[in-house]
Amino acid sequence: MAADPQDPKTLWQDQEPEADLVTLEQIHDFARRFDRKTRFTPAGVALCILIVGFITGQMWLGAHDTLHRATTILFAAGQVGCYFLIYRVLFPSRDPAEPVSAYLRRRMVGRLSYLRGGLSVVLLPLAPFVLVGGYQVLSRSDRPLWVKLLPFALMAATMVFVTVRARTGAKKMSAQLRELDELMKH
Amino acid sequence: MPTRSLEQDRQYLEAAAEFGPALDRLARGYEADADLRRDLRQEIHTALWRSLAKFNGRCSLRTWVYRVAHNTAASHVLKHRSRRAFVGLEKLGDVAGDDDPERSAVQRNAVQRLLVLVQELKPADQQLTLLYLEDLDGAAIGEITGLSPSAVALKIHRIKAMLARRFQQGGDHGC
Repeated sequence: MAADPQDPKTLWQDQEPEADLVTLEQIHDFARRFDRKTRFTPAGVALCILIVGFITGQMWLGAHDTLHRATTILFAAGQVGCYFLIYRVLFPSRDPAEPVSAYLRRRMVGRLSYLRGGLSVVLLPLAPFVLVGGYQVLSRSDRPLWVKLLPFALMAATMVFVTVRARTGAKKMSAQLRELDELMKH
Repeated sequence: MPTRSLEQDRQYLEAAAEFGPALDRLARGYEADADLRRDLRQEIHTALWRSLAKFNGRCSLRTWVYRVAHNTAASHVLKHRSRRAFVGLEKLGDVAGDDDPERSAVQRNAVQRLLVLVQELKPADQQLTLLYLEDLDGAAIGEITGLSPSAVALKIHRIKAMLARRFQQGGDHGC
């Protein structure tokens, strides 16, 4: 019996292939461009380390007491922690042929975590430096209190704005993730 | 390594020859915008070529190809999520046509309806629907998605009902 021409499967499979083929030369070119970009990453990391090293050195030379030196150490340690977390976020170990639902779930969890303000977690290692540095600025500066508090108030307001905005976008993703989890549990 | 690269090229050409048209349809199912669809096709083919360096035969080539393609497309969908809401029919006008104009007009209309249906679906449902439309059986869909046979059977049942219902509705008015 001939296949029903209105059958969704028949309609789907009878579609004409795209006219422009992706050639092997194009693929090699894309792969080369990707590899070139990847090679720049260590150079970028090295530059960041150099800059942070320079700032740390300057801070250390200008440190007159234990509190200043502690702030400098917390700054350097916080930066190392940030790099580690950023590296894990940017370059997760992955299997190209991971089962489709597991891959989708992992990507959705990552996206959801980002939407819920997960990016700020990356900056968490710098929190001790910010706290000690903040204490230092507040206790030692002669400026008026509102001037001393202004940077911290701005930082807090930005964090609240970003988090609230992202959380509203997370609701839909969360519902889809629950549905996928249900399906995977079935 | 040149030897690996030649072997990788050979495996890719073999996979592209066998699954190229299915990958084109998959890209259409995920992306309505012609420019983004071209990008997605290139991404899928490049990801497939790169992945074949790691292909060790732990699953069939078909499973491998579909997994890589769907995973790449899922990343694409999540990346462009904010742009995606509803897909207009005008976006689908550039789907490759048929040489017979009469058959083409009717067929294209029906195919466009089908594409809109698929593109409106959530990523997980989209994956299952696309695999179902490619005529893969439950076991193969289960292997590609990693879902249990019962979950796949349940979903396929719902997909069939949804397609029958919505396609019938569209068929009454669409052509």
